[in-house]
Amino acid sequence: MSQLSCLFEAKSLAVVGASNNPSKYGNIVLSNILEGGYKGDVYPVNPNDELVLGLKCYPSLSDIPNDVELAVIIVKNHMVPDVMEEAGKKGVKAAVIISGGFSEAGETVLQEKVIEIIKKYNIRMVGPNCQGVNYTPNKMCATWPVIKQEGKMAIISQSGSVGAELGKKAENEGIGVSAIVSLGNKADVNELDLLEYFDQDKNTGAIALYLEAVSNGEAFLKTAARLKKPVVILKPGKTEAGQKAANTHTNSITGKREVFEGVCRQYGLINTDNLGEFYDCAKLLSMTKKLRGKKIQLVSSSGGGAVLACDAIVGENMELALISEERRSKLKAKYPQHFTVGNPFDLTGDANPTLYKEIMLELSKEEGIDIFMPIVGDPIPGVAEAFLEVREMIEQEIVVCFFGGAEVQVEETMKMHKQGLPVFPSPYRAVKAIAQTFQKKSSIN
Amino acid sequence: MITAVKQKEMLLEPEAYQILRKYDIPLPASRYVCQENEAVAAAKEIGYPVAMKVVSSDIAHKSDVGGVKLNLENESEVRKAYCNIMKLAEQYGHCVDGVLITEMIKDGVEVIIGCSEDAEFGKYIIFGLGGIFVELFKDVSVRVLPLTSVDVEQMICEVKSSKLLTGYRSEKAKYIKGVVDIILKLSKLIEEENIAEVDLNPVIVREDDVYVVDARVFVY
Repeated sequence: MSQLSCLFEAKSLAVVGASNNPSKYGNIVLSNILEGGYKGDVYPVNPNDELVLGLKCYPSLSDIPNDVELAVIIVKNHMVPDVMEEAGKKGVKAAVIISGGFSEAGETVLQEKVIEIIKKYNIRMVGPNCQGVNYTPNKMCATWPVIKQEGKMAIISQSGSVGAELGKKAENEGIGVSAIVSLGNKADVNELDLLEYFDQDKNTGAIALYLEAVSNGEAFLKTAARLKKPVVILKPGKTEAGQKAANTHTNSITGKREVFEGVCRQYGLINTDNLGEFYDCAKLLSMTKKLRGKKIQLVSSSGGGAVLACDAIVGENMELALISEERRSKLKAKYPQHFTVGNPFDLTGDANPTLYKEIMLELSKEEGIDIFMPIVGDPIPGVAEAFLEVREMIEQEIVVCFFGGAEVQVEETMKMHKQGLPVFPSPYRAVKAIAQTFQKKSSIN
Repeated sequence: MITAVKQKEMLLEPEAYQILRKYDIPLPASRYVCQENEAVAAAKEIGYPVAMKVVSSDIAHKSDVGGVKLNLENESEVRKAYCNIMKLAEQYGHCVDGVLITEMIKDGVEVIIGCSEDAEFGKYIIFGLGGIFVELFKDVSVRVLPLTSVDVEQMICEVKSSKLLTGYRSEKAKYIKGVVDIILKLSKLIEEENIAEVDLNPVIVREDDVYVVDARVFVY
């Protein structure tokens, strides 16, 4: 196991700079750790208080009578070296430095000083100038906002807001995350350490990476070549204006857009263009196995939904699966005349969970289908159970599109997400997320 | 954007040819000459029609200053072209080292193959179909070094206009294997030599062969 397990699996932590003032991050972070349900020991550290949020507060790290594995640090920048020195003496193994005011503010010497200390004591450090770390399997929400639901998506972000947004969206949708790590200045732990860690992490299925610049191109390629799990990337700075802004935000020197696109294709990383695509694709991959092919079968209650899906499938270079003539005649004979038997398979307003199930099970015997996309365009209660049952009985993946279903849609979507079945609120978004996973083009022949 | 500022220098085309030949990259037959009579002799030796290109360290874009003459069919056309190039160079005040006489390569699909350096990922290869496909549609693909033959095949297929190479309507498939070969050889070249930038444009791909017709090579 990598050295970073002492960070994510920490059994005890101290919040240095813990505060009773609700407007301070030292209060927000400690309160989120408690609300998140952290099972390990928590030690607030602050020389000015005896109790913080009802917990006994220690004047300094060295005053804590027990071992501390992780230090979460939210103090003024110039105090950080002393705190880290103390942490080293205390035997702390990992640190998350939320405090800003380091290289990003021109204080490179101060940052160098901190790096020297962590090297001396062999401490792994996230940050400084970051939004913290959340690892749901350890119920360790040392960041904001509070996100508790466990899922398979690990988020690594060079922007605190992007990480928070993705994580919260995943929780609101009932999907959850395994981790959110805000990279900050990457003075020690960088995206490569985290990619390697989450690639091995049994609680993670897919990795979402927001990155303004890679720390080291050559090392990035070496790591990328080794990764087994899908990695979805949003790398801004695609225009000159974006590059300038990235340079101001994280001191990033970004390379050319087409070069990064080439890198992604070459190394099988999934490159996305905006937050929406980034989230959708990470969501899909955290919930499905590797999609085996591009042939999609539509089974719809909505004519309009089916038409939109056809356009999306062709437009995104996916394929409409072809049903054998034999099966077609068999199904045509079995079902009412007003059903459209084929692809799309239109159940019209007669659609109900049993019909979806019957038809998908029958069609699953076809060889030319890789993915089923049931489209639910009406409030049909019970489709979640039907799709979840079918999923257990067939080889093909199911990616659901649910729209126009009002409150029923919200409820059914939640049920499916909680069981790891992905649902998208428009045909295009469902198809686009699928298509993104096939960025790597096949070669000649 | 801030990039490492290293001085780079363009090689004269005969020097560029030399380095490409060392790596067995296919080039048309050529002679580098400094006199009108030598030009005529070289053209005869290569066989008509020929092309004539000015060789000058002052001129980065030869055709922009009338420094490229194509389809020269006979001795008098060669003499006329030579005088013309010298006169133009004089007009612009360019110092001329000589001219390169080359075999005319015609009737193929024009592609570009280039190499440059990225701020994050270092040396990369760029491929695209020539002319408006590159300039207007920016239809190019990129791969970073090191690359495999599978990477190269994928980068060729990836450009939207690749159908012009794989065969479209009555057009037969072109010699894609030759293009793959050039890219692999170029990647070896830039890994081994001290090269800043390469621009092979155009590379003419025909049904059975492929030639780098124009080469700009920059060294540090």
